[in-house]
Amino acid sequence: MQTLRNLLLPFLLLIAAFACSPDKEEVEPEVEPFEPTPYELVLPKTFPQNFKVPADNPLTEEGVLLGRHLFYEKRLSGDNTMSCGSCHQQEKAFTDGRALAVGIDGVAHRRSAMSLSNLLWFFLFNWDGSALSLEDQARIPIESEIEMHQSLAEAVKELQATGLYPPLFRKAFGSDTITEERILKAIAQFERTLISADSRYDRYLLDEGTFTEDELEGMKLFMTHPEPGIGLRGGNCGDCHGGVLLSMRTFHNNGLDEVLTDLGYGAVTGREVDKGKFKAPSLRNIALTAPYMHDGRFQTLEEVLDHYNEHIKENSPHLSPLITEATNEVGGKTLLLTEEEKRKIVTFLHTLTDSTFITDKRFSDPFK
Amino acid sequence: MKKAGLNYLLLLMALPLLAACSDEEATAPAATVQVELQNMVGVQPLQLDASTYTSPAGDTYVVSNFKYYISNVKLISSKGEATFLEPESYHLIGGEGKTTFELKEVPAGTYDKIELSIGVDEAHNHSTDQVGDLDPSNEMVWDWDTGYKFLSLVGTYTGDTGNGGLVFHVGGDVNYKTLTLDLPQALNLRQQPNATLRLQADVNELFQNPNLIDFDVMHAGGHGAGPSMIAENYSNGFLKVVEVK
Repeated sequence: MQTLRNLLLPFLLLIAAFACSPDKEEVEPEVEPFEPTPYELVLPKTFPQNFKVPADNPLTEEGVLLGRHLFYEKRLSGDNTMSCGSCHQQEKAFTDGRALAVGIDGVAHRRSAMSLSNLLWFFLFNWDGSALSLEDQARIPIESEIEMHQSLAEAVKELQATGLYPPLFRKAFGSDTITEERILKAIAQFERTLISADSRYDRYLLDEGTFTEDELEGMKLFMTHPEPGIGLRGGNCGDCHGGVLLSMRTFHNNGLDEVLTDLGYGAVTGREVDKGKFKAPSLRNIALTAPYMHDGRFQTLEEVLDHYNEHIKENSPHLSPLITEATNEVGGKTLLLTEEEKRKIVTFLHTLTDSTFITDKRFSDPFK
Repeated sequence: MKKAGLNYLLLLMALPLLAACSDEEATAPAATVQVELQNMVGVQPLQLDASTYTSPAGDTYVVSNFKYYISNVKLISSKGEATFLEPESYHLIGGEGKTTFELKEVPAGTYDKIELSIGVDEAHNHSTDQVGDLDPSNEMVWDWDTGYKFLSLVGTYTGDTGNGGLVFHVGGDVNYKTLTLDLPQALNLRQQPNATLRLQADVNELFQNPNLIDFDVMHAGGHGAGPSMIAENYSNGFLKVVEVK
């Protein structure tokens, strides 16, 4: 108690000093030694500045460091063989190179592991938008029987028994006690720091780098919805993958199948019009994240362009109007880009590769 | 318990000091005016994906996504008594965006008109400034040369000769339109310091007055003459103030 009283006097003086300061700084009456360091996010001015971090899970240096350890922690899987990082590998922009993700029991998931970047600005996670926050999302692969197949309650016990984790949790959350909520919060904090903002496209936007003529034309085609009536040609990609995030964060049926086997977003919302819709994901680092689509059916970017240009299933239920109303020829039924135009778009897609992001030590496996 | 008690004590001691400051800073009370927008089709509230509507040209249509920018909102007194211009005034209405916004610190006065623009003014349309609802990651971003989509309507239609998707993306500096709307009754902020202006936007007005849009002829567009026809329509009867309360 003595120490506490000694601390009290300077606090009172502080309050008196700050009470009338013009910026009305709030004085923390907290006398806890727990003071984590706020994590400073560095963003270029082209990026949205209006992101929201949950009020009960602010980014801290200590929380992010703990989250990084947990992201690469194999004890979070049932047989201690896989971590989040097994399917989300940094050098592949946090994907795994497989069409379908495979968990600890060797069983394939029905969907592909998603690339992770700039999650700070997203609000519906997974291909089907089933998770409303990164905190909620993190539980799903850990507990899924075909992914990491570990009950989080069991993981808490295993981590509590280590020498490594209790001190890391103390620094991040103020006590040695490991809880399910704290594990999920720390992983979410780490994921929010995975910002990819240094591709050649970013440098072009910031006037710090240039594009070749092909890349420039590819970018214009990528961003443009075609209007054959006025001779405006476009690849129509930007309607769903536009903006600096290369995703409008929306869900669409992009005409892959006539008969839907995976209802995607529709299974989550229960609405007929959402059946067969999947997230239009960010195309950042897209050259590194093959194969493509929610089920990894396309091996190359050229195959993806061929799909949108020539193979849209017109009778797919609730096919996006943004696709049906896009053609480069008056009266055309399909997109009708030339081979040359498709090639230029693929050239532009390669400018979205961010080599700083995939080699950034802050995002790498701390156990290596 | 001891610690909580001490904290409480600290708070109690600090309170009078804080209160003393606010007294010094007291100024004339400024009024807040709430602006409410409701999207309609004729007299029916717009329901996304759920209802089929009939256009002025007689085609039926369903709207799955509808949003637009309201910007540079002003309150005007025709007697020249006062004009209020909202700072950083960019509001994205509809979709997952908002349907209400607040005009803060409006000087006391009697106002009888509201001026607002549909779209984003040229100065902000081509800059990376992120004020109000201008956001380079939202669905309204076009590309960095063209700027923002001012109004976006996506859905499906059935016409006399065909059916398919409706995709209207209207943008471009020429389609930035400023409207002056009369309030149905004057708003005296001294008598009514917490008023609400209720506005309605009628989707069917995008397709008539002065340009009748037949979906068989035009059901998509983002550049050129088509969207400008819609922009002329949205500057004429699309928005009105229905109530001051």
